[in-house]
Amino acid sequence: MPKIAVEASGLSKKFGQFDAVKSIDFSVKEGEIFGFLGPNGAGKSTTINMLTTLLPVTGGRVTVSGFDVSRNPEEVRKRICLISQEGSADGDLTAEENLIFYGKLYHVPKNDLSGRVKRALSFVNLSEKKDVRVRFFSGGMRRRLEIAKVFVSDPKIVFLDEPTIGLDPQSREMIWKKVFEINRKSGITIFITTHYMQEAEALCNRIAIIDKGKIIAIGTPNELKKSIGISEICEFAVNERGEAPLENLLKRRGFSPELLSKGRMRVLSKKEGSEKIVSSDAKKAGASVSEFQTRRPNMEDVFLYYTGHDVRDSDSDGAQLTRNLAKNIRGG
Amino acid sequence: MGETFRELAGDIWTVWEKDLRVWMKKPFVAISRALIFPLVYLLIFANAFGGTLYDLPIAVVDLDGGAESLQIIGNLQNSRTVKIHSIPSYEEALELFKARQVYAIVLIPAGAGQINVILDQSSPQVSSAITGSITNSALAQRGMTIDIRKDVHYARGASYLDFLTPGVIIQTIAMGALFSGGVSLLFEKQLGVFNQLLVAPISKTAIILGKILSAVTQSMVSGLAAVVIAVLLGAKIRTGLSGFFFLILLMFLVSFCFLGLGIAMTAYISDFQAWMMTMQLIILPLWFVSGTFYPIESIVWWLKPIATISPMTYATNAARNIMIRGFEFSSIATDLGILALIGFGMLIFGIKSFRRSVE
Repeated sequence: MPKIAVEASGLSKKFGQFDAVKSIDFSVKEGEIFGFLGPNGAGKSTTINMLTTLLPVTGGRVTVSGFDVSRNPEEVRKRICLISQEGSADGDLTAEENLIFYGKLYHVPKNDLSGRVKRALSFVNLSEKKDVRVRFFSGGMRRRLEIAKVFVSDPKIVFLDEPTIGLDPQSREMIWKKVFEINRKSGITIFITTHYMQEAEALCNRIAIIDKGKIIAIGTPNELKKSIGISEICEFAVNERGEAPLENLLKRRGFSPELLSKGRMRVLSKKEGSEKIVSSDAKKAGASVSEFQTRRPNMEDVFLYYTGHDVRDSDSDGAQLTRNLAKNIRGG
Repeated sequence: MGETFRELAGDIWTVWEKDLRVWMKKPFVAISRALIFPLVYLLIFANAFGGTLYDLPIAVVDLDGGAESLQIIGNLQNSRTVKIHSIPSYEEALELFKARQVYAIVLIPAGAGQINVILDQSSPQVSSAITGSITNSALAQRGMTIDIRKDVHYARGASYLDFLTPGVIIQTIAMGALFSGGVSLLFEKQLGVFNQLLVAPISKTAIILGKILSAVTQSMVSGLAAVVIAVLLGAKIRTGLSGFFFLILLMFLVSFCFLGLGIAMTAYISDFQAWMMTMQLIILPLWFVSGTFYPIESIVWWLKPIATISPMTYATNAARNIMIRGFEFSSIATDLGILALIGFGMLIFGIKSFRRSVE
């Protein structure tokens, strides 16, 4: 039975009349990477701020590394590292100076400090930039410097609040790699918030989907994907004349067909092998189909299913179509 | 061509309108920015540096007691410039003079025909106003020739630079404390640097005391630099080691006052512009009525309350007494006591507001 790193029950936060977090329950096992996935304003940062003792809890309770956050904030602080969205490095200090200051805050023994800082900088590939003031760093370098803090203070749990927000794909992947390494090598528990589906899926052992201050679903990425009851999403091109008859056939099958732009159609299938079924239906309907693209449901589909809206809540064509998809799945 | 011009005009309008929209979103900043300079300059400058000095305290020792000397004293009493304290003996008057409770001594020795005026030139304007008032009172005594002998006990030949220097040093300390305490905290809070301190396993007490210590260090360095600059520019400092020790003590107390204010302001105001405006609204009036530029005896009655609550008034007075007159403990004791009270009071207020804002 693995130990518990974070345990929240009925955790709530009110700002005046506004309920930012509404009685959430979850637990994070030691050594796992646990993600809070949700749109901006869902209550992710508020939750992380409560877990890291920055905001007082207004309802329920939560323990971090075995200590109650409200009653023993000092014990909690000793065991955690917070990597926040805004970053915490002082732009007027160099990378090395920032990490030394950080180590002193965490009472790292003097004879150990410079060695740890050196290793930390090399881990995030910033050794050559150690004497550069942080204000001249790019967004990616800043984020890496934040990650280096983990190797200086040696925490039990690392909290990452939107660690790759605003970064380019390369920097993002580099951060993911580093987070993985931290988790693998040292077995450090990682709690992460993100609104990137891909990030949650790539990094997390388990994900909690949070929306409007509530947790809607918790599970591993696979569990969550299975939970929506769709095993394949299949897209293909269809000739104009065959569109209507094929759509009718597929509808009867419960495939919730949808016409996309440029003569393409999409179906949702509860079983695998949708391509074969579509092909045989097309023959019956006298339609010609080609260019099949079959994929498994991703986190985006899962998110839509549970929240009924896209994470960005944009009204792009794709978002609109996937909204229909969510409706269809739920209706069926 | 006309089309391009119309487009340019439209774009200018767009930029203008957006900025005004932002401006009107912060009524406090907008209003105070519009009011601060006319208010500060016209209202306070005009009434604080009006040039007319009233009720300057002087000691009169009348050893003659004759009719003429009584009349001269009567003339002095009618003058609004000085306020007379009749003292029976010269020694007693000297004690008051030393403590700067009176700014001059008028000694009328037995046998009339002569007046001795003992002066303190640490405030050039005050000393010349007193001299003028005494000369007028003596001249008003018709049919008599009165020999007025001046004797400068303190700060002979002090210049306006000497007079100005102490107040400027105090202001440097005050601004240094406000900025290094308040603004750096404000920036750290906005940039998230501050959260790193809050999640670290160190106490809030350590955070705030560390911040205070660093701000005090910074403001003391700038204050001492101001002393050096003043000396290089030709200001004379007439004090020994003990005076310097008390000057340093004074500087510490001033930095406590304004550090406390800066920290407290940061706890309540998170917008940088609003913060700067508030700071100017507070610090400029306090400074202008403190007696730095012109003797405090010239300010109008309704500005006096501001001078009374302003720590700069006491600090400037005490710093001047130390730096220009030469150190006499009795001349700074009261100022030092009041300043210590305000200094520690403000510091505690600052720490309390800070704690409330982070817990």
